[in-house]
Amino acid sequence: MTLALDHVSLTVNRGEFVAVLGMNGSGKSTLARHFNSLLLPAEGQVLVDGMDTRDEKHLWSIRDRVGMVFQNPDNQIVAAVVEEDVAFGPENQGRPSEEIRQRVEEALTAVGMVHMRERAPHLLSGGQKQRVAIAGALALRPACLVLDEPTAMLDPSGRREVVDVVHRLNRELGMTVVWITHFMEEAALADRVVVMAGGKVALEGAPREVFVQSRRLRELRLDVPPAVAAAERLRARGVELPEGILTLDELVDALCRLHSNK
Amino acid sequence: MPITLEQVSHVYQPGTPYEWRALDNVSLTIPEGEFWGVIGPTGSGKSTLIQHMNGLLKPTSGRVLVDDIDLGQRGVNLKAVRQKVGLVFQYPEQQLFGETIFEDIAFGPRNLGLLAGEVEARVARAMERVGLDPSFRGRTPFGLSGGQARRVALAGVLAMEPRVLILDEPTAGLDPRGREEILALVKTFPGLGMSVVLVSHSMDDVAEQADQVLVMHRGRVHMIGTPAELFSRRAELEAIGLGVPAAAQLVDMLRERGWNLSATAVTLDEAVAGIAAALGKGGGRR
Repeated sequence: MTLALDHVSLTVNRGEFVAVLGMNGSGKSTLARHFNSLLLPAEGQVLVDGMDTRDEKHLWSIRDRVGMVFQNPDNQIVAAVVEEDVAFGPENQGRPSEEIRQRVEEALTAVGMVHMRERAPHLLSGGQKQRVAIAGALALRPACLVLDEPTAMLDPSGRREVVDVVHRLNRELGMTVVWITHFMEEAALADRVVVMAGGKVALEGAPREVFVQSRRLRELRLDVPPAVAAAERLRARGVELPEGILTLDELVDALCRLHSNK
Repeated sequence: MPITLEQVSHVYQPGTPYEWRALDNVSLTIPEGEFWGVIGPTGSGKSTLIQHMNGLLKPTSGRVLVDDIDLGQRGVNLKAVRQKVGLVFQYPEQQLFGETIFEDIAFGPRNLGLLAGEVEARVARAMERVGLDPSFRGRTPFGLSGGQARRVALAGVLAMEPRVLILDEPTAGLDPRGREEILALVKTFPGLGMSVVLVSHSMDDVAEQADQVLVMHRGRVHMIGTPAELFSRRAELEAIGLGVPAAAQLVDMLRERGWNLSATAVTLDEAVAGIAAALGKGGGRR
């Protein structure tokens, strides 16, 4: 018997942006599915706002609080019109129609898709579809969004759209975010990075703490963001860069300081 | 085996309200033995384009020539063409079905009516090419890791011994090491006499290996050039929703801040070498 999750202890704080990394099969998606009772632990407990996910009477309050967004936007869209798709959740909850309208408006505004409310989802770009899927989750007014590789199937501009929208939700609405990804540069933008391996938490910390451990990350079949890799190779050539560079902007600034002091 | 498209257009659902011109007057030639990258935003016509290269789709107008044979001609053996031009779709591991890995890879060659001994030999060769240990033969293809399952699917296409291999987003959904492994594998194919056409969203995937990069936009050929030529045109690529590899972006950002760097770096090592030299650290260890 192999354990998909093996004695994991982890707290995601309110308002935090946590990125989860790990090789294929490391338990990331299994972990994500425990956050809103899609899966229940065989051992141990998962508490959402103090509610035990195994307790059936909490099921719907938990799912209202924790929204999920998956990798393939085409598998998550159910209606033929964008606003009807977003209304699906609150309709299922039997909300009054005035409130549904308001929630849909709010959710589409939050992802910047309100002008496309009457469009057919299948004619949207990948990034737009994924934003509709996020709006569908937001219409339930969750406190937390769990996104399982939401950008894996998107082109660069679609990825940027989805990354920007979710970071704005986190910053402006205080939305708690769990972001699962294979893209190291996306993880670099999180408050905290959790690295899974063999069903366990292998590394955990602020991006600056995690991404200095490039050897360990490569052992875990991962990588470092491109700016970290470039900084490492420049240091190996004797360029005296400060530690903790994570993004290209930071690297460019640091290099320009060296350049002007030359 | 060259592939040529002459003024190819493809219209989906013509004459309906859903009419959609996915390809618009595309002309290009992929010479024998070259490695081409095809990039473009979602909906730019990349998938429609590659399905024309082995006759899965027929042009609404224009001609497709594979090995100088016009696929639109009466009596062309499309089955033979598809054997020579192998197409690996996105998430190919979803198409695995065999009871064992051997059975799965052997499916194509058996359908060609080859003798058992030849099927054996081809499966063994294909497994070797994708780096699957012979001990995997009898195992079920289900429950393999993402990267391994993808290798099995790739071996199934290689066992047809194609002359051209077309791969649609072969690294999507893989962890960084899995991605590197698949790319390193694909890189070996031109040396085995195959042309490669690699479709990707990831500029880094094509920067490292392609002889030529084709940029599609709105069904048209937007640019064709070597990676170095294209990735120095970052603003144009960003204007259509694409990006450049991180290395090219870094060099470009420094040039904007007044650095005197050559804009042709496409890999991180090239970028790093240029930056170190500009800082007077050119002779540092690698």
